[in-house]
Amino acid sequence: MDHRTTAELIEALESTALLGRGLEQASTLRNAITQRLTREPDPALQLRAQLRFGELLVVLDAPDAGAFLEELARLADQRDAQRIAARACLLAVRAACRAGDRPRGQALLERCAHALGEHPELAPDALLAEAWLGAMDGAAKLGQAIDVLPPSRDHDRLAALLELADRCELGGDPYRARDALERAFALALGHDAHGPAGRAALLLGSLQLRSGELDAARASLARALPLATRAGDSLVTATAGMLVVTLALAQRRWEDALAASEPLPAVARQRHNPGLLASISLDRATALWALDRPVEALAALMACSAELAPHPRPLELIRARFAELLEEVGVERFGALVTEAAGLLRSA
Amino acid sequence: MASSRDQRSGKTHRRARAAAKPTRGPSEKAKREIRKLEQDRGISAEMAARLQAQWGNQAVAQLLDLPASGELAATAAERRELGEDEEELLDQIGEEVEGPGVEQERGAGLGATTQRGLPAMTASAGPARDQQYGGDDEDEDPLPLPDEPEGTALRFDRSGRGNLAKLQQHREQGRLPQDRLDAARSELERGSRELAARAGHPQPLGDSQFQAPMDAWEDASLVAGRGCSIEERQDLAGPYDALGRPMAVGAFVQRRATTPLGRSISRLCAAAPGTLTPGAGGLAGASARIGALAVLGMAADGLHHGSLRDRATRTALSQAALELTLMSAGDTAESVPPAHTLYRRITKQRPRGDAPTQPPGPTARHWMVPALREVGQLASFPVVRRWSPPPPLPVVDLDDPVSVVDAALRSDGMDGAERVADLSPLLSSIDALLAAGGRAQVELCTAALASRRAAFDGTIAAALRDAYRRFRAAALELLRAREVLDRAHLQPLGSFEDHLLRSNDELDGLRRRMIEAREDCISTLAHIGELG
Repeated sequence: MDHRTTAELIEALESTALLGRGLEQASTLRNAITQRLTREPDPALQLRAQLRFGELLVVLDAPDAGAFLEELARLADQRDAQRIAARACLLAVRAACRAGDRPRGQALLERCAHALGEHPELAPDALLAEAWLGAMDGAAKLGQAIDVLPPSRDHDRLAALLELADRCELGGDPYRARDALERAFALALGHDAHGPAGRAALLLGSLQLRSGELDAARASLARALPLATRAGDSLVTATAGMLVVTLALAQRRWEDALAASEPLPAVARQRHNPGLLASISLDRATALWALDRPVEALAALMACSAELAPHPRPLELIRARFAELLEEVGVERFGALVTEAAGLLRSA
Repeated sequence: MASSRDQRSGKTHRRARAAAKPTRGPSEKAKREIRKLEQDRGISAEMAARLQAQWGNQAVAQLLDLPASGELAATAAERRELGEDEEELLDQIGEEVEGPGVEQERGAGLGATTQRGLPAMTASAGPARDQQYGGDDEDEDPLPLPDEPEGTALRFDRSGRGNLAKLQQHREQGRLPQDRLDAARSELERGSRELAARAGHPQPLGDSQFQAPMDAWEDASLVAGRGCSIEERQDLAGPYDALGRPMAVGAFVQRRATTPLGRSISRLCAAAPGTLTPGAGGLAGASARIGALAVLGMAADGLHHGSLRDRATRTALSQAALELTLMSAGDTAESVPPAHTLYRRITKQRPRGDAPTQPPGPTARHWMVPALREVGQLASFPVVRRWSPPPPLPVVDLDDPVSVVDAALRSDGMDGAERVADLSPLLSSIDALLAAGGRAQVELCTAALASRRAAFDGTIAAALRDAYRRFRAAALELLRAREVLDRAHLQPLGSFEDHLLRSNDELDGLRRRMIEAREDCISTLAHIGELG
């Protein structure tokens, strides 16, 4: 039983960054506050709590975050809570942009424009909102917001850093982009936010790959993989894993490629991604063939073929590879290898 | 001597004052002329020939069918357009354009005539086909480009233009690639069938709702034995190629993705650096890898509305739609028919019912609208070059000989009231707008075909027909304006000045109406694209 008052609980929620450990605490606090407000309703406290709940929805990327915040803004307007209404609108801008609805975001920003003058403490939110909306000087606005956000808004700082890196790369400043991603990684790791840290590391690795810094990319991707796996982030696991395997193939480190590809078929199945399954199988077959283990290489392709039967398009790529291997070793040898591979699959 | 000087000075002074004083309104005769032209519902044969050059025989035929009065929407021609008679007429025209006789007509050049006996514009006499079809910027009239919404021609992937140029080159050489036409038609039909088959089934799970990157993996024999070195990649750039397709998907998605991760992964696919396509796995391995990454790039934005985003991406890359439309539009400038007629020629479907009027949802607006713009290669409507009256001559200080000499040098030798109206900017703006209206028929038909689903054929055609009606109404007004301006061109300015100043705004308004007609049609097509 938490002996804190409802106001104290809400304050605790407001001062907790919605990231990593903080996210877990926020979830506990949210339940406690909801129960307390159900028992002892207090309209003013309810609005404050709802605002933070809405922020939580935005951080969690919930599809209904925008609708929730717009409704909250309407309620707050009715109760003359101008600051909460304006902040809800500014948060809803991010949700609208995330849904690809910039016109809606623009309208929301305009709606709360008059309140911004009366509440200078909302300036960082306004800067962020303008940046999400794609302002020409978005990178500068993000930079300003990052500098002034309080620690309780580290989740926003993280999002701003990732966005800043993207803008900087597009603007031809990969050094600043890299710096922003390093900062994002350190920030996420400081909060034990493994998922976001993994994403930041993957973004960094991708940037380094595009810049041709292969060793640095390898190191970044290697950082991303365990973090993503620990966080259960299959998207980052799959992407970073594929890139690690590819780098190993490009550098002819066949054993490394095999080791890195080991967990990926399971991730492909989990994500219902036949193209990924085909890609990993082809990569494994390439590495095995190069290591002079042709039976295992063919077995990998045959196993994949069976699994890809309902997906004719990726299956065509496997067939193409079969045809190439047949061409390489000749019909007789290929037939013998296939027989052996079939035996291997049966025994497995 | 002094007397002579005084006389000269006095003349200069009068001329300067005449130029400086406010211009009188148009004479009664001029007013009558303007009124008559503005009220006249018909257009002259000369104007019709001009439109014919820019919009094509059918457009002109329909314009000339307009009665002298009455609402455009209720004309007999339009009623017929929807009826069987009109369909037969369109068929005849279509056969004229598509049949073997067309080659002879092309050879005959100037000898060709339309059904109504108007001289047909040959490719050499008409506007450049690039302009007609929205071709390379270099060949277009260098009118100033307006600020239009993102995703317009200014941001196009140049590869699309390259393919267009290639296609045109084939056609100019008389090599109509029938096999490519058949392939394009079957690709569109297959896409339509696939979507129809999906309609009754539950949403595909997870990443499997993103199919666009894998669309070119149709035939193992096209992949086997091929590498993807720098040299070999030159031939792998198209959206129908095993590797080019996922790269093209990445290029489209990176501009639409709303998360940094989605943009970053898609950017990797679009660039597909050599590290990601090592030779060891061959083309099959590289294609699978870039394809899988492209799917992950799409999934990074979440699985919400995944099927719609996938459909939009496929729409954006449907080069078959462009090929079919261009080939069906015919090979000469005079044969560009209305968009719904083009659509009917290809799909055999005519307009049915009313096109939906509600706007697309946010996801369709963010994904489908840009996809339709890209595939249709929507070009900018040229900004109207505004006419402004020549500046009045300054008042001359008769006591200052330098001022008198300057004024004499500045003067064009005519009296101020006789200064001519050089309306070339307005006239060229009208021509450019008319050409853009013709080009829009191809653009819209392409967009409609790319987003086609057979179940909505009638509605799609109705949307195209509605847009065409609006274009036609605007074009009529442009032609009337042009006729007035043609008469005023290089004529003494005085009586026309007010009318000319009004013309600037009128032309701006007509340009806006054409843009709105196109945007509304794209919006309707996007809404149809998000249905089901």
